Amino acid sequence: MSEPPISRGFRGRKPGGPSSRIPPGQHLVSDFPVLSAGPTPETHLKSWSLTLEDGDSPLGQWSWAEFNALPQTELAVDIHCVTTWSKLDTHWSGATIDTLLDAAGLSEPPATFVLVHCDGGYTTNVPAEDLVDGKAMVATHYDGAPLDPEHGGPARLLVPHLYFWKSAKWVRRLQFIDSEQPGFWEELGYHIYGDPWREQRYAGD
Amino acid sequence: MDRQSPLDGNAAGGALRELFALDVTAAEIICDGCGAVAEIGAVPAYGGAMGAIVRCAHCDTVMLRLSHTPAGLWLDMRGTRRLFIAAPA
Amino acid sequence: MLEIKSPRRLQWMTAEVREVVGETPRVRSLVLEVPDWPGHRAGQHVDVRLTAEDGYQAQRSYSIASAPAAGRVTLTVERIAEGEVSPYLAGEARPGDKFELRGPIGGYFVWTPDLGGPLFLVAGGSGVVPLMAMLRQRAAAMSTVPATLLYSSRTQADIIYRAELERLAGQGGLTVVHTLTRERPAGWRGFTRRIDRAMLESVGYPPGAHPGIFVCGPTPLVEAAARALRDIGHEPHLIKTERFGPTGS
Repeated sequence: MSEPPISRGFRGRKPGGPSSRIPPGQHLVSDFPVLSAGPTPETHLKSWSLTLEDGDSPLGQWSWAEFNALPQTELAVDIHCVTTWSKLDTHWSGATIDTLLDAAGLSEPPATFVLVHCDGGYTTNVPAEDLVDGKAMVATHYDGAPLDPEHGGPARLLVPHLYFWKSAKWVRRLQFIDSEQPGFWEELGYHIYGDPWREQRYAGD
Repeated sequence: MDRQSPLDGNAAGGALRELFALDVTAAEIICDGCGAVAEIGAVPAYGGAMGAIVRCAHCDTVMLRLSHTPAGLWLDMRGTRRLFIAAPA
Repeated sequence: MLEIKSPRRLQWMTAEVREVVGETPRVRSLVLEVPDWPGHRAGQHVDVRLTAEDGYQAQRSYSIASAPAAGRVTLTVERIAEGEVSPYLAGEARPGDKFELRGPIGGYFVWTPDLGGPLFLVAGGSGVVPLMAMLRQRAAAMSTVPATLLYSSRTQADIIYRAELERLAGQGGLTVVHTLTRERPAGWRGFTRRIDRAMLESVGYPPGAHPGIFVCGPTPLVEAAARALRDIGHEPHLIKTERFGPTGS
């Protein structure tokens, strides 16, 4: 197979900033790109709820008011999208998954894996241990303001140590399951785990 | 660039042509969710750089999902009841 | 036996820049030589892929600006400030430079003179590019199909192909109507607001004339215009749309 022609003078994006904070193959952006698998859902807070499930059995459910009455946590984290942009020092607040498990009366996750369900039908999967010990939250605020619908508002999952497609927008249900099930992008050739530091973008990486 | 509105099946045309020998953007696609008929080029598509997600404009069913990874091309068409591509003139 | 002539699957081809034409401060046209170019129809686009010396690649889609009759591939590209490919194509590229190209793509958003008219073209910003290919083809074929272009730009200086559009309009059968969204110049005779239903109704053909309608530009403009055209009474199957994404390219 022949080599493609080099386009003289084309340099692609320059990675910038402190290199130890930018995973391989990523570059810094100053804006906040929006990428969605579908149109932004219109969510009515009166009918919004977040549910934790063990298989098909509900473990806990919170209305918007109930969710916001839970202990809230602030996180300042770097985020990395598989499409190669990274954003440093992003500020979020919401309830950690530890808080939710605690509110549901659980000291630890009831199963090994989680399938995340969202308005609009998007799904993603994460090992349960990647959601606990402060590693993840259901976020409702970004940069001090309520989360914009385009960025996942009213609430999105935030799992910053994995590629950002795992931080599912418009999250509604966290379903704990015994055997791993690939979500929307994982079914379509993306990596089942998605660690940006090992550049696990696609299945087989 | 801070906002993403849907593009359309036209934009997915190049990736779809990698798979199909015929141009698919003028194809008739029938939604398996509600039976609506549309031309692929006219249907909103999402997914940006991750892949092409073509959703029914009437009922929002994901009719067609496509991604192009180093391993190859992935196509999920469970939301499509039928596709009709007219023979070239 | 039914024999379907299968066009070959798309391959990446090498394009070489032959000529660079400045259209507006932000927009340039690149006239390309593409060996073995199979020809195209007005409205189609190509995928462009750039490769840096370290092997890094970036890919975007661009509408073909040249008429099929011209026998070459011209792309008109608007430089988007934070873009990755457009600053190269609309800024850096010069004659002799090479990149990869794949196409032509698109059988939905195409017009050929034999499809007839009248033809109503609605453009926002760089969305005018595929529509210009249609008007250039119409002229090359010496078609008498009545045509109208409603073209929205930010300012006068941003109007792409302005002189050529005036010349084509002067040849008869074509009406070009401009609207500006960010400027109100002295002596301006076009509109000065975003395209809306009232403008589409006054500029376009009545539904009874069954015009073929092509709308191209930033997604919000395209969706609003398509909705308004349906509200006016145009049959949905006669309205073809191509969305360029948020900023127009």
